[in-house]
Amino acid sequence: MGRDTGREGEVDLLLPFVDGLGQGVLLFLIASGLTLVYGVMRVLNFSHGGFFMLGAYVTFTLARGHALPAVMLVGVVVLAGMATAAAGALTERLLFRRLYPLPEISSLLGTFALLLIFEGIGRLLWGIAPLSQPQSPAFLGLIRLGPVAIPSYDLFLYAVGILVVVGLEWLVEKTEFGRMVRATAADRATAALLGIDVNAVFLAMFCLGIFLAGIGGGLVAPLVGLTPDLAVSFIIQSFAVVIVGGLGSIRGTLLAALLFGLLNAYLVALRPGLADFSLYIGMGLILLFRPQGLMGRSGSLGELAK
Amino acid sequence: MRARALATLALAAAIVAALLLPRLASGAQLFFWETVLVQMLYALSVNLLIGHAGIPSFGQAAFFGVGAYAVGLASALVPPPLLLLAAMLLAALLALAVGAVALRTHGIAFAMVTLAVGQALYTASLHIPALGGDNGLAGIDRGSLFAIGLGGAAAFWYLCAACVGLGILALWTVHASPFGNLLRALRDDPLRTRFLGIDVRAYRLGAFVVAGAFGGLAGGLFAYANQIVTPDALAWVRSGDPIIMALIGGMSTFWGPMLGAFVYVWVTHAFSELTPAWILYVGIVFLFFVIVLPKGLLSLLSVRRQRSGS
Amino acid sequence: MSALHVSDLVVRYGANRALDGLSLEVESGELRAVIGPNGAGKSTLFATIAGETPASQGRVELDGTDITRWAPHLRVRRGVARAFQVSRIFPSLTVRENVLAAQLCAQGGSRVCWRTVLGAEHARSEAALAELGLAHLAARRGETLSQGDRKRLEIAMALQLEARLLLLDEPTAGMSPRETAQTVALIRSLWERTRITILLTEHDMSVVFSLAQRITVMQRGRVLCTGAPEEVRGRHDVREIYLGRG
Ligand SMILES: Nc1ncnc2c1ncn2[C@@H]1O[C@H](COP(=O)(O)OP(=O)(O)O)[C@@H](O)[C@H]1O
Ligand SMILES: [Mg+2]
Repeated sequence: MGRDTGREGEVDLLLPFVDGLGQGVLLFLIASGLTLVYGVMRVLNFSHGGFFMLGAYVTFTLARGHALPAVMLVGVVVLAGMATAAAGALTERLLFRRLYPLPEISSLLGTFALLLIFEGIGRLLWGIAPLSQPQSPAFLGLIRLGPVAIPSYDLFLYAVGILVVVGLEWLVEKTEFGRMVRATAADRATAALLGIDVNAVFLAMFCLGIFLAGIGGGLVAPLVGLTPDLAVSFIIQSFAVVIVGGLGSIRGTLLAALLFGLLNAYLVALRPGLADFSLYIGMGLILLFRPQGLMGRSGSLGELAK
Repeated sequence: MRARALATLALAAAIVAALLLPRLASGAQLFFWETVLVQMLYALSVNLLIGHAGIPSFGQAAFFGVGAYAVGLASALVPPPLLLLAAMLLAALLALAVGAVALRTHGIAFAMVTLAVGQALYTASLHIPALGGDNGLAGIDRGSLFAIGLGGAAAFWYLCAACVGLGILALWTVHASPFGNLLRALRDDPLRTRFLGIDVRAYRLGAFVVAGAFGGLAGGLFAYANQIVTPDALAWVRSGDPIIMALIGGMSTFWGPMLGAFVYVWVTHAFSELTPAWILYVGIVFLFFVIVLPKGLLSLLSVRRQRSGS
Repeated sequence: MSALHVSDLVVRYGANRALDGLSLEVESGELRAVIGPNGAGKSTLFATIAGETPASQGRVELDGTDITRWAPHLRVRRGVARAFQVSRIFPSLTVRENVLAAQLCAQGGSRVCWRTVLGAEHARSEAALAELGLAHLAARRGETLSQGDRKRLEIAMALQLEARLLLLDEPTAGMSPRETAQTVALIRSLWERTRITILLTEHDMSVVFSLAQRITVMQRGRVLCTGAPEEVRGRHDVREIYLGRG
């Protein structure tokens, strides 16, 4: 954002594109975990943002606030993702188990409570003053691809995005585990009768989703000031993404995340006054013209009031 | 019979307490009770939606905030009762517009859409210069009523108590009305209600507008009580707070949210003086209620009554 | 003039046609049964008449008015009441409140919110409860009722609407023989008293033959035949596809 102000107008329209895709990938990392968990367990998890915040803070703590070489930063982010996933496993066992049987709105309230708890923990452990994680020097440069110079961190984010999309598609569509996941999502009682360990599937999916949130937090850490209300600001964005994408749909989530990222980047470049509203503008438009969401299924916007 | 006598007694006690309070309480205590009253009204308005009509709104702060900013903008020009009515009207109109679109969705999607609406207004309040940005609007003038200045603590307390009392009465009437009864039916089974001849969407919209109006009244009173309004009035926690209150007291009852509001204001007041991480304890308490006591504190009472009755 | 005239109705679920050009005429004040094997499209027919399931083709006329595109609640105000195959009542409301809700709906869908529910309204729902033999259950929550009681409560609610056409989808499903007998008696006395038009489906043939004036047999989304009970009982093709194989 605000980079390369000295170029001619033609290139200026490409820059927001580059930037927007990077933002879109970050949004996708957070929102995909949300949609996975909702798709299988039918719990929309407010506290997902809390895990995201945790990933960012743990990255900061592991790096001790130093600028690390790129490889080490990546290693630290993965470690943070794993630590977050471990915390996720614990909450799944202790808490979410009790939420699954509740009506959707009650479980939503339960995860909302958990989000408050996360924010409190953030304040206790890291304080309310913003902390900043310096970017790795290698990620500060530009890489030239034809007419555009792409920030190397954005390029790295694209790679992560592609890796995650392909990995998730493969996992869900092609593997034995994916078959069990789809069966459980479709009908958990029948899946249990077929001999699938539904609880194990839940735990695994939850950890996977939280792992993605943790990594997302780690990758965002060098880009923003870290405060406990990261938990909230990012959850609202990812909610918008999953609702617009169609709850439970990975491809819809990807599409929506990229659209939101691009919309935001272009507004920043062209109409800065509206940039903070990109989320709401996008959501409002979708709601008016395509209420079922981009790739809506049941439970998304399209399922009209019964 | 006994219930009616008890209710009359409780009402009389509440009126006497409200009349005497300014003589007994310090300024800070009076302010505490004003906050409690405002939150009671606010929690009741949200519970009309979530508890009774089954409409999971996570954006009630939009209406609270609009009411608060209306008072903040016009307090120097319009006397309080008129301005509060205007705040209600404004909030109701906003609710009509928001509801007309958002009620195309339902359930969790609706919760998210209303959350986004609230956040959009919050963001707007930061950006619109006339609303004072981050600093909000300070120096709200309490004006006067029938030539009695309301700047004094006692006079304003009476105004606040009267408005909240009337608001509660109005919401109770809605609750016990044919409309209120049908809202609860509709929450239970929208399809059945539709095939009893009810236009489900219109009823939901009606509930949304009524709740919005009283949310706006609560917001307006909140602005008068604090004499300042900041974007905080629109923040998403403002949407979450009354839901927590309603849940603590008991969402399936009419009076539960009032009890919950008192408990919530009191507990947050106590904790926020002790630790900046008070939100952690609020979260824990809230979680306890969701999992262990989802019917709220009032359900304890009714269980006791049933046991001793049989 | 016929009370209900359905012509050439088509309802598609994907490639499957649940109703495939179905036509049906019911006289005013008639008690008509629709029978047919599972999956014949009986529930779909009722849902389409009530406005829940849109028809992709065809017409539904009520007393000569074309209501094909009407919203469900408007059809109800025009006099169509229904009870579902799996009965739907308000689970967290008491039996009394269930009937009261139906009563309030009958007042043209009361949007009145500035007065409390009146004593007269309560009295009327008490009377309805007594008439349908539900008075002893009045204070029970809907979700605690047995299947049979739920069905009867649902009929009681439909009756509050003062409908001209009552759609009953398998009114005795899930009932014990005793409850079935009670319900049959209830439907008959109700029909004899009000002379309301009733369209019902039923899998229990003894119920069908003891209640219906005329019977329509459905098969794969079409009408196979319509006639008096003896006529239908005697028909060869009906025996074959439905009563059949025995
Ligand atoms: N919601 C639905 N989605 C897809 N197919 C349906 C649906 N409802 C009914 N059908 C199909 O339509 C046909 C008729 O069903 P139904 O009307 O329930 O029959 P009946 O009540 O006579 O047993 C069946 O083949 C059934 O599988
Ligand atoms: Mg059927």
